[in-house]
Amino acid sequence: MRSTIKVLVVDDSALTRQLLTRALSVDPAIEVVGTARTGVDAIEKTHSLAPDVVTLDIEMPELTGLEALPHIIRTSPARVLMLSSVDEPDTTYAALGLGATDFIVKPASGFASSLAELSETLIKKIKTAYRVRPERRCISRHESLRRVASVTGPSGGGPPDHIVAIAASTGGPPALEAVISGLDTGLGASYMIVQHLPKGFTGSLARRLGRLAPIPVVEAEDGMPVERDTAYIAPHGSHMTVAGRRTMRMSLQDAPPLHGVRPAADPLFMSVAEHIGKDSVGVALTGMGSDGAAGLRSIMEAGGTTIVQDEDSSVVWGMPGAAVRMGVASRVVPIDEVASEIRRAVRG
Amino acid sequence: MSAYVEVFLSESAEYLQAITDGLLALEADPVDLEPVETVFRGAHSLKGMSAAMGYTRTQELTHKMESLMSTVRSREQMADHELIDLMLQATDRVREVIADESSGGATVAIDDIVARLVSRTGQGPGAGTPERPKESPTAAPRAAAEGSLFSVRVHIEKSCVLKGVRAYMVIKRLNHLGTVVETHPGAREIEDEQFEDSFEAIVRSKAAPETIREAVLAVTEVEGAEVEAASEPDTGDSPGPGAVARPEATRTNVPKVAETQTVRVSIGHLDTIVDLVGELVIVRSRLEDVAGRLQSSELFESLDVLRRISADLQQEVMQIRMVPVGNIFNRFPRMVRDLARDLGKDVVLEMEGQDIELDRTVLDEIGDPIVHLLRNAVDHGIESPEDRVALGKPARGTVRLVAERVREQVLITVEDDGRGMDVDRIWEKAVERGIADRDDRDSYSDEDILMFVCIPAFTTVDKATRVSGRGVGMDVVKGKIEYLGGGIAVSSTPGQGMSIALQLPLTLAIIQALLVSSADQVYALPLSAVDEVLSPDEVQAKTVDGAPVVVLHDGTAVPLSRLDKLFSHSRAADDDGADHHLVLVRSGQSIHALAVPLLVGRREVVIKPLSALFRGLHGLGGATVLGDGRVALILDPRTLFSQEV
Repeated sequence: MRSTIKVLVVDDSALTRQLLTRALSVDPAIEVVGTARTGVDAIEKTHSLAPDVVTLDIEMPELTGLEALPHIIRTSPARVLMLSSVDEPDTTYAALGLGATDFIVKPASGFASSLAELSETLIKKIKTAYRVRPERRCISRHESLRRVASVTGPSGGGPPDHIVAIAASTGGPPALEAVISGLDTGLGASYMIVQHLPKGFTGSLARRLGRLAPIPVVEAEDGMPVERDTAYIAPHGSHMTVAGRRTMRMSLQDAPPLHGVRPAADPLFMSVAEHIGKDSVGVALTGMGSDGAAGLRSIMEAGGTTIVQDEDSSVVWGMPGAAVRMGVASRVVPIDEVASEIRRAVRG
Repeated sequence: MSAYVEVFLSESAEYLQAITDGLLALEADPVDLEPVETVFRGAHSLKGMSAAMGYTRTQELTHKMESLMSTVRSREQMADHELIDLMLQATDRVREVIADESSGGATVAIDDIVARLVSRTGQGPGAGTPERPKESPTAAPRAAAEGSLFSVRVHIEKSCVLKGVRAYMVIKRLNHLGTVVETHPGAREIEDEQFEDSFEAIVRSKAAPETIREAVLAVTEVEGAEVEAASEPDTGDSPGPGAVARPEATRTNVPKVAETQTVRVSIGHLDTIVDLVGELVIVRSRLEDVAGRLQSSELFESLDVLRRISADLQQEVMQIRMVPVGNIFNRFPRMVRDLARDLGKDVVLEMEGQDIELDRTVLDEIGDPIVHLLRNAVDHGIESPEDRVALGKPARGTVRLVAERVREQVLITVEDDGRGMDVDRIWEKAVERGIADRDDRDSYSDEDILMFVCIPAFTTVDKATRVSGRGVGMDVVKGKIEYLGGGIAVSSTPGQGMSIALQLPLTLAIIQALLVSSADQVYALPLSAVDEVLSPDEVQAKTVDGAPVVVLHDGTAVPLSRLDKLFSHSRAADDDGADHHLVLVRSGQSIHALAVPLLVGRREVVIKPLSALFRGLHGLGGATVLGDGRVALILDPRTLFSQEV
């Protein structure tokens, strides 16, 4: 018999606690074992109630969610799901760096009258988080690597010799930090990143990665020229592809979502394979689902290199696993070695 | 959905109160930034909650408030008076918008206030406070270079299981009061709980050492804190990690009160329980009557147990209904502040005894009277700052609102140090208005004369301002308090200030009463008003100025009334009243003797309000059902004798 998933709901608003508890009550596999209204309360209840998953609000009295998080991670095996507002992306990324497994954005407006949508997202995320083994909660070790990036502005050095296309989902932001902080400037490549994120979070991801990376990181805009030694983040709401041969440009497509997401990695990978062939590098990092696998096949068939994160270092080995099962992974490596694999592939 | 509306409304009211309190605290002491957190978080939570409910205007407005506060939080701008004003006005608007949106309305607009919030948010560093030098965004936090250095040694309880967390909270708190320069051991070690039961923080702050100490002690599981002036840091003399704690404990180890579990219960359920307990008390007295007739010892024993249980039950239920007066006091600081600003006065409101508890129904009724008294005090009591200085008083006037428990009553006093009331002027006015006869001056005490302001339409200020003419509405206040079974006392020292005290019963529902009877009708006298019961041969009945009086042991004469005559019982005529018992009844400051034909005994009675038909009757405060099913009328000593005056 499968035991239920024990959930601790942490929020300083009684209304929100009620709504979340109600939203979770529709699934018999989930049991809300308690609620907490401050960060301190959350730490104490994590100890006394031993929940499998904690949903953690950010702004709370006494101790914020962000301040309570390290204590929860260090002293219990609970997986933490951040409950963020649309305007808290920076805090959310910080939380992911501190070991939160994933996050959800509180729905925009009026969800009290219809909890179905919230229920669905929340339950899905909780079940995913539950399957993450506690030791896989990724605590970013890159804070210490945070160098004053020797950014010399967009290099303006013209079109890239290589394009490195990277796909990530659940557990992705800290993984991307690990990858991007390990890159070198002057490799002559452009980096194009698809990270599944809610609206409003991509710009912040670009800024955050930009502080870690030795190269500029920007949120892609339609028609933007593709520069070497620059990283581009696909904005929420459109698929990112490349267009043009002599002067390569970003092309944002509003085609329907693929695998339930937009941006999806497959259109990017396919477009890169088509445009730059053997000079393309495809990377699939941690994440739910199977987005990217088909795209990696295109890259491989075009003669490019494909790199896939290994199971042990992935929070969720969905997308990388799909690529491995499809037989389209040239290399399967732990997250710490992804950057060096990219460097090797680009240097040739 | 509607179930959530109720939760939303009660929770949003709490947040609005917290925001208001935070803003006032911030205005009073801009050094301590902790209230900024409270206000910011309050707006943030309201934003999230209103989003959940789909209240888009509330959501937008609170979002803009949150944005503005975040600039204060990040020390980009100062919370000056204009900012506090703006935030308070926004808070008011939120209250209105919530009322509007939660009832499905669409009338309250927010565009104007949103625009002002946005504009103030955009003013960025230094703007709005032109006297303050501009700071670049990279400048050190505001307090960094200001204030003195203190060494704060913090002792955490040995039993604490979250030492690292508590220490973090202490440091966070200190950072609101200034800037923590360094800690011993270092931040990393503290976070990893690598310290014994104490650690040291060096903080630079403009706050007083005692303020710092109190702030630290307010953190849970901190058992002691020593704050000392510290010398400017140099490399040599700082104690190393794990420095030994000073041996002496600075605070006796008070056992922690267990975290109280609370439930929210609708007041309707409580009222029903009170009613049921009342019925139980009635049945109990009925059983006592039966037991008395049967003389059954078994029944008496069981009744003893029942009496104890029902008494405990009653006490518990009454306790549940008790609410701290702080619940209504908390809105007054804002009100007094706004009023004083409108009137160009400088007034501080001091409050005491917020934890004194009163029955909920009493509390609900006294809010308006207190508002009235406070308005009077600010508008008519406190002089303008210039006048005060000219009079040799401090420019800032003080209004005090004090609640205290005096035996079975709660006393709520509103005092001010303003101009007070002039007895002679009031007397003149009273004569002018035909309230009193000029020749009778001697028969009125000063207090009596001050009470004239409670007579309808009496006012000493000829031109009533929009706030209140002193006296206007005092009759309403007096009426309300008396309706609640309370009393009002006024005292004044011209030029020095005045005070108005409201005496209130703790509860309205169940009272101890002395049952008396006349012509087979039983009456209940609240025991709190009964001073003494005398047998007829203990006193002398006399007539003074044609009015009957009795002379007590100590020689004082008190007016005598006969219960049967007060209620015009037919048999009263044939009875000379010689064998009546005399009950000395206190009403306010005066004592009356009430002659009653028969004493029945002392009982606990449940007060039931009289139907509207009887409410106007003088001398009656309610009715109750007795053990034998008869109805007893409850006498109201305050009005009982007044018809004879």
